[in-house]
Order: sequence, then C-alpha cells, then structure tokens
Amino acid sequence: MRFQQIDQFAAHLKADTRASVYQSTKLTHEKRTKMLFDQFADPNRMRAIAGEIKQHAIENLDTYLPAVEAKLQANGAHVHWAADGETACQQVLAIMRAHGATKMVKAKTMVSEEIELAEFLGKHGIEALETDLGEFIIQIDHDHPSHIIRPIIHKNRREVAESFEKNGLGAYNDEPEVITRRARQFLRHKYLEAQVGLTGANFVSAESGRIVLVTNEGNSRFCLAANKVHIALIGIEKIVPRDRDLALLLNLLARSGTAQQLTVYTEFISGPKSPTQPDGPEEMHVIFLDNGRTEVLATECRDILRCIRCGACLNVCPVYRQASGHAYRSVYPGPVGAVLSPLLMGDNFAEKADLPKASSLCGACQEVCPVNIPIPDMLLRLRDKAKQEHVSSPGTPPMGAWGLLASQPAAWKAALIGGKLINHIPTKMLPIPALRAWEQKRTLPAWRGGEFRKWLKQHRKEKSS
Amino acid sequence: MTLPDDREAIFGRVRAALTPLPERAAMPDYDTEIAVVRKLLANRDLFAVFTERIKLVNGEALTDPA
Amino acid sequence: MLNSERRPVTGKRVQLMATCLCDAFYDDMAAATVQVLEYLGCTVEFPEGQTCCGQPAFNGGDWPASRRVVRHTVKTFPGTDPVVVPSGSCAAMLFHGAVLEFEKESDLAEVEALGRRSWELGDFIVNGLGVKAWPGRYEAAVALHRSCHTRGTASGPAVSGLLATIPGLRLAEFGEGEQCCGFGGTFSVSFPNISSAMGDLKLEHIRAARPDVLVSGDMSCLMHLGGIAAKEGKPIKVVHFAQVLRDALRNGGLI
Repeated sequence: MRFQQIDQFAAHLKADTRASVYQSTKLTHEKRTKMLFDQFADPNRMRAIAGEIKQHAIENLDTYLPAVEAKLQANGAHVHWAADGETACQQVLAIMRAHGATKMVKAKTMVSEEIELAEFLGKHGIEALETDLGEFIIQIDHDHPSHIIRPIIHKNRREVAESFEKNGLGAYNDEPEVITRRARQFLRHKYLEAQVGLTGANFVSAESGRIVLVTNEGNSRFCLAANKVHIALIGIEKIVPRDRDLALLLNLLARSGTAQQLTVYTEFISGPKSPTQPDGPEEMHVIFLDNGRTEVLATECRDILRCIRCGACLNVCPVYRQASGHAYRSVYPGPVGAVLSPLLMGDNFAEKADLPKASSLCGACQEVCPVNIPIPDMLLRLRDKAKQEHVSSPGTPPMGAWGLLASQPAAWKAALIGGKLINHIPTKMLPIPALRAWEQKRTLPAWRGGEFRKWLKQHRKEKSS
Repeated sequence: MTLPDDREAIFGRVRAALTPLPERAAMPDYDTEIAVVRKLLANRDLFAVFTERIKLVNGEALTDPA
Repeated sequence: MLNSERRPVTGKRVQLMATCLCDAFYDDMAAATVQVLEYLGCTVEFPEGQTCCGQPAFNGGDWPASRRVVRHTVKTFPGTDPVVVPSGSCAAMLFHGAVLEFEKESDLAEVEALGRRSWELGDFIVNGLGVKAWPGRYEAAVALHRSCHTRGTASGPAVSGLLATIPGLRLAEFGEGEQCCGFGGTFSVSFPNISSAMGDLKLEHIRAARPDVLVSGDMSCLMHLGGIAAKEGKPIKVVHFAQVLRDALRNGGLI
C-alpha cells in the first residue's frame, strides 16, 4: 500500500506537539465564535458582504492596481512591481545597497517567508531580523512557522526556553514573562542598530493608498520609528477598494484570527513622513508581489485570493489539528494553504497536489472564513485538476471501474448479490487496498446487498393483499 | 537606483486573467452599521460613545485633524 | 454547502433514492424510510435502476466517472416528483456537488432540475410536508451527530427539532459537535490515520455524554464511528433517525 505524506506525518507527530496545536486552536476557535455571535447581530451576513467586497476587488485588479499605485506615488511613496520572489529579493537588496544598509528589522509578513527573503539577504551579508516574538523564535531555531498567525503554535514553552538558552539569550527559564522580557531587551538594541524596516500589509486601500498593519506587539512601529527607510512587501491581492470597507474587514480580522476585538496596534500608513511630522521613515518603498497570484487569478479558484490571512480556517480544521502546519510542507498550511499552496506552484502543481486531498470536505473552514471563501468547492476542483494532469494519488481507490458499475443497473444488481462473498472471505485475501485501509481501524458491516430490494417487493405484496 | 521592474508583465497578466470574465463581481451596497457591535447601537450616537471611552484612557476625541 | 431553490412540494408521490450504502449494508434503514414516508401518506416509488448519486468518484477527483453515474441517476429519476434521500451527503451531492461538476457540460440544466427536486429526508418531512412533531415512543438518551453535508442547510434543525418532540427521547448534548467525524468519503481510506484519529476524538466526546444510542442522518458517518467503536471492542449502538422515527411509531402501536 502506498501512503499519503500528510497522513504519515500526522501518524508520526509527537503527542506533545499535537496537544499544543489542539489546545490552542480549539480555544481560539471557540472564543471566536462566541465573541462574534455575542457582539454582532448577523456575523454571517458580515462575512458574506466582506467576501463580496474582496471578490469585487480581485475581479477588478486591472482598475485598482494602477489606482493604488497612483495614490501611493502622490503620497510620496515609491512603487515597485515584482513578478516573482527572485525579483522582489533583488529589489529589496537594491534599496538596501542604495542606503549602504546592512541591517534590517522586519515585522511579520508571510510574503517574506514565501520569497525566503531573510535567507537571501543573509547570503548577501545583510542581517534581516524578525521582531515578532514567534517569528523571532522560529528564526533563532532555524525552524519554519506552522501557522500563519501563530508561528510557534507547535512549540511549548519548554522548547522555547531551551532554544533561548542554546542561542545565548540566558539560562533556561520557561516562564512566559521572562521569555518575553529577554526577547524585548534583545530586540530593543536591534531596532536602533538597523537602517531599514520591512513590513507587509494586511490591507491596502485603493482609495487613499493607506496600508494597514495590525500587530499585538507594536513591533511594526518599532521597525519604522527608528529607521529612515520603510519597505512594504505586499501581495497584489491585498487591495481593498475604499477606506470605509476597512471598518468591516478590521472588525472581522482579529475576531476571526485571535478572538480579539482588535489587535493591540492598528496602523494606517499612507506614505513616508511628511515635513510637518516629527519622526518616521523619510523614504517609503512599496513592492507589489505577483509570484503566481496572476496565475491563480486566471483559474476558477481565484476566490482564494480573497483571503485576509486571519487563520480562522486553520483553527477549526480537524485535519490541521491532527497533522499540524508542517505536514503541509508550505508557507500557507491548513485549508487556505491546501488551495493556495498548490496553485502558487504554477507548473509544479503536482508537487503539492496531495494537499487538497487532505480534507474530509467538512466545510467548517467556509463557515468561519471572514470573507466566505468556498474552500471545499475549490478543494474539489483541485482534485479534478490533479486527475486531469494524471498526478498519482496514493491510497485513493480508482474510480473508473466504479463509474461503469454504477451506471449499469444489471451489473450493479449482480454486484449487490455477489458482494455477499466478502462476508465469508477474510479481507486480507481480497486484493482491494481500500478495504484493507478501512479495516486497519474499523470493522466492516455485514454485506446485505439485495436485501432491501427483496424486502420492498415483499412489503408491496403485503400491502396490496 | 534602478531596480528590476515587472510592472508591464504583471499588468498584462492581470488583464489577461480578467478579460475573459463575462462579468465582474459587483461591489455590494451595504451599511457599515452591520460592523458595529450591537450593544453600542442601542440608540446612541457613536461619536458620543467614542468620546466617553477614549477619555477613560486619557485620550482626546478630535473632529478636525488640524 | 448550499441549498438550491427547491420546487415546492405539492403532492404525496415521491421517488426514493435509497443510497448505495443502504443497498449494500443497511437494508433496514431504507425500509424504515419507506415505512415512515408511507405512514405520512406518501406513495413511494423506487426506481429499480438506481445505483449511486456519484459522490464517491466526485470526492475522489474522478469527475468524468462521477458524471457518468450522475447522468445515469438523472435518467433513473425522471419527472417532477420530489426525490427523497435519507442521507445529507447524497442530497448535497444532488443539489450542489453535481451542479458544480456539470458547470461546463451541455446537460447542466437537467442536473440542476434534479437538484431542485431533491430532499434530504428530515428536511422533507419537516419543511416539505410540514410535520413538526412526531408521535409514538422512544425511550433513550440520543446523541445526535449532524453530518457535515448538512452544514448550512435546513436538515440539521429539522432532525433535531423533530426528535426532540418524541415522547421518551432525550437529546444528549456532547462537545465539539461542529467537528467532522472523519469519514469524508475516499478520505477515510486514503488518510486512514487522520480519519480514525478524528473518529476517536468524536467518540470520546459522544461517550462522555453517556448516550444509549448514536443517531445521525447519514449512514456513512455511522458506519465509520460504529466501525471504530466495534474494532476497539467497545461497540456503540448506531441508528439512522429514520429508524428512530419508525421504531417510535411501532412502540406507540401506530404501525
């Protein structure tokens, strides 16, 4: 029998890790649901409308992208366009070199993970330091985030304390307050040493050119306060048509992702500092990144570009809870990742074609998505795409013969009767991998093919007599 | 500084992706009131509520950025 | 998952889709469905040529194979009478899944037409026929599992509402009701570890509620959960709600 990678990963996952992930996701999800339904009259309608706003935005990017560029330029920001990760990295490098900068501090942005920016800059002698506590821990551990909002959801505080000790950040101490204080002390110096601050953006308004940053730690502020140059790295799908739409989206974002009404800090940045402002970056560069998004835009799965990166779907997903984020081998795991990650692979779709199969199609993700993305439908489309491209799928029973059998009543009825054999033959002897996979953990009910039809005939006879 | 730039390539791909759509998703017409927490809505002026609350945290409500 | 707009129910003649699972394993569940519908005054037709709704291949990614089966199903259920099926997942396949996989096909309209007359059993009884209360007797603490394909449909509230009216029946609440049982069609055999871990978790919550019986509107979920419980030597009684309705009538001397 051949196995699915994600299923194997889940089977071998440490019980500790699974417990960390389960407790955190379950708590956040349940709080999120209670909060939304306590506080708003119709949260599902809010999600539906937010979904329509984002769908409108992505289906009109040909209008909104030039509009947001013009606005940002009018506000004094430089705007750059990167077709892929390599170009974006080169653009960041060029900006840093132009300022003789060797140190960068960065806020959390999944896009920078996507293009592996920190590694690239490291190879060019530039320190790109993560300032979000979770991402900082990932960085010193040479690990990868396993959740798009809570990068170290798979770690417990003992593991964090060990890695702090290993990295010269003090003797072992797993008190969260101590860990946080140590990180804060370390990072304070770094903010002042750096020359460039890099952020992503949660949203960009096409109306005003404002970018919106949400953090709980205020680290994005620190990244910008002491630096002369701000680089914002933004996926082209982050466009929101108008400032007023941000009210709805921001009310949904934190509640959906971390079960907070709002994150502690919400910043609106429209450009570099103006002459009348006392401080802030003097130069602002916005790099809009494609990296496969235009290809997704051209497919029937373009709705996935609505995603506002809240993480609610990860938190509710029963498969994510069992396997954890690293099982998906991608920057974007969980339900959103199961659609987005294979699509962003472009021609190399086959490498991640198994991700959309790692789902029971339960639909919980769609039910919590603040922008109402029909994720199960897209998972199904991607399964069809994989079949059309002849990507092999370990463990999936072949359906061609089934299709023939189930469209020919005579053959079907014969199979109903013939199937009684399996009541008498041990499954181990039947050359049907699906049956063996079933019986690893479950019994099979007795085969009773043809019995209902017999009963019905009899029942009809009795009724008419 | 001259940076590599893919503006035309990206804009071309966006246009190519969207042109075939028979129609584009419309902007919904909605009242931003749906995003206001329901307890606050109970016949109160939102600005008055905001002014009250921000005073509690030593803030000041302004009507004019100047 | 979405409901389509349905044709209103005007008469009492229905076509029964028994489901392939019942054809193969669960004859009493299909029989109970017939008995319940007839008790409600329906004339139940059973098109003999029926096989399957096409969902296994659809979920498994083989849409051409699935379409072949759906086309056969469309032919097998002609006319305009409601098609009643005692399965949330088969019903959702008819009114949502099939429509999705036929979006570029020339016979989409016929598939949509079938979807518009397809009803999950509980939804049909409560919202199609307007039956709000159920008579008879069923003495049991019932853990009711709502299958994922009933998300966003009227079936969930219909079934729980109806069962709650049965004299003697107590609905036993259990934790994490919104979490999937782990069946998921071909997922159950291609991701057996995750599938059974999800099932174990679900059973843990259910057992904490100490029910006498586990009830659902989908035999697939029950086959999976019941199968896990039996394999670990701690079997749990699993019953489709159609059987609960039928048994309540029997216990009450009404059939």
